[in-house]
Parts: sequence; C-alpha cells; structure tokens
Amino acid sequence: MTDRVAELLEELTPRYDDRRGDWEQVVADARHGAASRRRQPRARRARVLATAFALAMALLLALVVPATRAEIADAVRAVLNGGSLPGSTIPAADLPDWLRQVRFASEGEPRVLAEVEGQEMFVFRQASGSLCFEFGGVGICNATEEDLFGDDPVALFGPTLPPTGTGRFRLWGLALASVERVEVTFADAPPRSVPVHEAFGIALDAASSPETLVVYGANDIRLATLDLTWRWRHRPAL
Amino acid sequence: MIAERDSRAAIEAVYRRSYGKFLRVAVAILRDEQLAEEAVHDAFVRALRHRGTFARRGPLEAWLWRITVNEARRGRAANQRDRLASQPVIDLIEASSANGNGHTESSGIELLIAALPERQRLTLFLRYYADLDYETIANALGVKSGTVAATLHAAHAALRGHLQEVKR
Repeated sequence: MTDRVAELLEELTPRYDDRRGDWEQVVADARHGAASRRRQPRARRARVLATAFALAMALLLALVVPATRAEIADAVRAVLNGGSLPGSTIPAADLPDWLRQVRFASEGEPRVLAEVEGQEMFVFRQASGSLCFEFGGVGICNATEEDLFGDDPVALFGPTLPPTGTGRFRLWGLALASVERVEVTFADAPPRSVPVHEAFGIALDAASSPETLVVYGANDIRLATLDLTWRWRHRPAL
Repeated sequence: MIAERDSRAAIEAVYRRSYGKFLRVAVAILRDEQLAEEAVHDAFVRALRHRGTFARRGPLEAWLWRITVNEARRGRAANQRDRLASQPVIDLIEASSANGNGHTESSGIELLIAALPERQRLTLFLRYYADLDYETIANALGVKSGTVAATLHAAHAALRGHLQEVKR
C-alpha cells in the first residue's frame, strides 16, 4: 500500500487504542441471554426500584401466608390499606441501633419478616400510614400497590450490605406463592438452598458469582428461575 | 467444563488486548461510533454464548473477527444511514462538488472506499486497521489466503488510480 493511501486511511477512521470496552457487561449480557444492544442504564435502574418495590409487596404477602396469587394480592392490598402488619414483633428495647436511626421506625412498631446472619428485615408503618421495608441501612417507603406486584413467585430485594457496610451481602425475598425453598446457583460453586417461610434472606460472599435463584414449590416442583447476574453486578460497593 | 473456561479466558484475552482494533474496524464499516461499540459488544456476547460451537477450524481470533465483521455488517444494513453510503459514488462526488466542498484527496478516498466491493473494503479494513496477516483475514472472511492477496491488490490499485487522478 502506498504511504499516501496509508495516511489517508489513517485520517479516515480514528484510532481507539485507549478504549478498553466493558468486558463485565459482555459477560453479564451473555449470561442473561437477552438482547444486549442498546443498553439503557436508566431503564435498568428504574427496573431495580420496581423490583425492590415488588419484593416489599411480596414480603407482605408472604407474611399473610396466602395459598394463591389472588389471596396474596388481597392480603397485600389489605396491608397497604391499613391492615395489620405481618411478621413477628420484638420488644422495643431489642430493636437494632441501625433501625432506631430510621425516622419513625421506633414508633411504627416494626415487625420482623426475615433474618439472616443475625440481621433482620423489618416492615413498619409510618404515622402517615405508608409502609416501610428496612434491610439494614437501606429501606423502601411509600410503595404503592402497582410498585409491589410482580410476575414471579418471589419478589427480590438487594443485594444489600449489612448496616456496618462490610461483610457478606444479603439477598432478601418475599414469597408470592406457595414456595418451599429457593436455591441459588453459582458460576463456580455448588448451589445453595434455603427454606422459605413466607420470606427469606440469603448471605452471599462478595467473591462468589451467583447466577440464578431457582424457586421450588410443594413436592420440590420448580416454579421459576430468576436471573441474578444483573442484580449481582449492580450490588453496592464494599 | 475446563475447555469452556479456557475458551472464555481466551476470548476475554483477545477482547482486552485488541478491543481498540475491533472498535476501529467496526467504525470503519458502520461510520458511526456508537453503533460500532454496540456491534463489538454484541459480537463478543454472541461469541461467549456460542463459544461451544467454535470448532477450532481456525484461530480463535479469526473466529472473533468474523463474528464482529458480521455484526457490523448487520448493523450497517439496519442503519438508515446506509442508504447514503450505498449511493453510487458518482452521485456522492457530484453532490460534494455541488455543495462547494471541493474534490479533495481525503473526501475522494472516503467516497472511493465506500464504493469498493464489500470484500475489498473489509479486507482493507482488516489489513490496515486491525493489522491482521493474510491467513487470519482469510479465516475471518471465509476465503483463501490467495484471495486475500488478490483482493488487497485490487483495492490498492483502485485507490492508487484515484490518487493519481486527484494529482492531475
């Protein structure tokens, strides 16, 4: 090739030697199995929030132990409209410090929905009547009915960090159907199963690579498989 | 499982080492940086998901180039801007002159490259922008090595002829 042609070609298309791409995004999209083109971070963030709200709703439902989705929906609506909160109460003196720092939490008679490694997931009602779900320094309030309902048999929250900001991540869930157990599968480790009693919490090592959450109903029938890779990739920084 | 992991690591190594080159070739094909980024991204997603089908009929890098070139070509076909690029080169040159932009060397070579047969254009990009050898280009485009040499020769001849015309 002549030097002049080489020079013109050089001018025609710039070099990108300083570009590094986004390999982690490539891996996540490959695992997710969805169309990767035209990624929309804002839409994904919105989806995360919506999922979080759905988890909260699921939590409420699980506490009422509904057998069908319709019953669950009715129970959630009842709670949202001022009905009794699900979960178990604990004496005010035993509330964790991190929850005491949450505005209106102590007055809202918080109830425990799930627990993992000594940390609880709480629900309480503000004086205004709106519900709050608290996961240890992270919470969701003012969720609406539309926010909370999802299509999956469980609603997920997290991963969240413990209130200290260090330690194992927590993935929280609320059953929206008759769920017996959930199983987390990993890219490089055997699956781990935990029983579900309306709601559940799972601790995950920061160095692990969770891929899916498999939901099992009665007789160990598989109800659904939820992808965890995107959620895990967007976990908070340690 | 071990082979799967090895192939994934090999794909990652190519990505990290040569991402800039993949992007440059995709930009050359698509003439749009954002579309090019998406094409490279989608190509490697596809490669990861289908790495089990890589039959080692050629080097892994050539297989990745083939996927990337195909993704970029798909993106080009889907892009409405392609309608402009596919206009006959004579129309583009006339439009350029009519707009008072002049018939410069660089604008002329861009138009001429756009008008080259696709195989010549892709061969030129892979040779010049990706710095690939003939064997890898042949594997990437699914042709024989000798065809790569002949194609490059034809592309050079067309470009040299254009440059001599401009000098006159």
